[in-house]
Amino acid sequence: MSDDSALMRRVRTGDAEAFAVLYDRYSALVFGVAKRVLGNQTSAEDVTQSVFLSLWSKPDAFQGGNLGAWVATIARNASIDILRSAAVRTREPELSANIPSGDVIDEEVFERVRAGQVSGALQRLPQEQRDAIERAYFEGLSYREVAEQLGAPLGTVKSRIRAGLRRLSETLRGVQAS
Amino acid sequence: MMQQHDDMLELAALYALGALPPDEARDAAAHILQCAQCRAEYNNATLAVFGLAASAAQRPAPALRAQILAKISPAAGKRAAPALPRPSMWQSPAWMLVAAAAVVVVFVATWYGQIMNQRTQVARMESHPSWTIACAATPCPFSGRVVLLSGRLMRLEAHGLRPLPANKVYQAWYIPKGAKPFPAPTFTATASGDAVVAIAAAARKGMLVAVTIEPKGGSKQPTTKPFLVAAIN
Repeated sequence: MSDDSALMRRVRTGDAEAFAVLYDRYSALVFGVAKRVLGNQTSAEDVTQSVFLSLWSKPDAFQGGNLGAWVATIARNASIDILRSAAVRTREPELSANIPSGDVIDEEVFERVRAGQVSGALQRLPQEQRDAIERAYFEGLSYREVAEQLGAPLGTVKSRIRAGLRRLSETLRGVQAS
Repeated sequence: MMQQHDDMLELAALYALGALPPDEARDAAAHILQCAQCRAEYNNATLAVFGLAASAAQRPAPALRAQILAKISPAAGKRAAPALPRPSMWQSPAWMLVAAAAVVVVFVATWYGQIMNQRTQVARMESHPSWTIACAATPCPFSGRVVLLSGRLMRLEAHGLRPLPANKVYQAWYIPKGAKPFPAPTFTATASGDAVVAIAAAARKGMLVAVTIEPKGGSKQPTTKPFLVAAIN
């Protein structure tokens, strides 16, 4: 069982110290994603606060998998929500479900990524792959919208995104991408 | 058949990135749950997406930590009692898969429903104060408005924007009366020329909200003349 899972178990019992450890571990990730999407410190702080308060009030919403990936997704979705909608700002963020799998990625890999040990990985992607991936993730665009923006065929954009994610994943795992 | 499955692998990666339209997301989620190869693709993509998120990591101000921890302190009120442990049957892989499938479908429907339901939300916003965008050119090829969403959040909606070269972006600014421009987010327009951007600032009488074209990444001060302006009055 990972350290995060143990901490989440303590959070479920109302352990504020465990919550503080998780905050220290993931606040930069949550705040950074929100700031990148929203481009504003105040709004990013609002999102960070709502994500962590939701984690505290509904710890059972986390059903396993990698906690960091989960909170990053919640922060991203909550930020895109704010960007696109007027009504949701004061609402709690959606606590998304993650798809369970037997093929669990080594937690150590996620930890190395979180700690910034592979921060240059994204820069090593070909520009057109990185551009398509960043537009989809940080601007909340579907691949169809990305294709429209870039004036590229749908199939090309889908392939670029998949190839870019595969390459990034391989780099993060420390495997030389082909 | 092989080509069809390659397509599904592609969709699994796009699903992990959050880049699928709602109908395709629902299909992808259902397929990923049934297909080990697609789950592996999804897991790999999840790691990549986490790396993408981590590339943006930035430490928030220390005051935020204190603020959040104060809100969860016993003095701030006790949260709802933790859920009781589930019977072990619910923790079996088969039940978890079924439960997760249901949750994923509900989540996807809810999340994308919200995103795609903008028209309804915009209709609901009609009661919010708003200010029309003006421009120097006559006739003005653009339209749009600035909507006050809350005490410190405005939303700029613009239409008729042209696509920009890859090295340029649109950037919004808010300019309090008598002050220099404050940078707001950069943005791009859809192929149909529409854009929506959130501006986190309190609306004050006499303030201007403006849009310029800037180098990719944005500027700290405008480097071109504003071509869209809304006066907050």
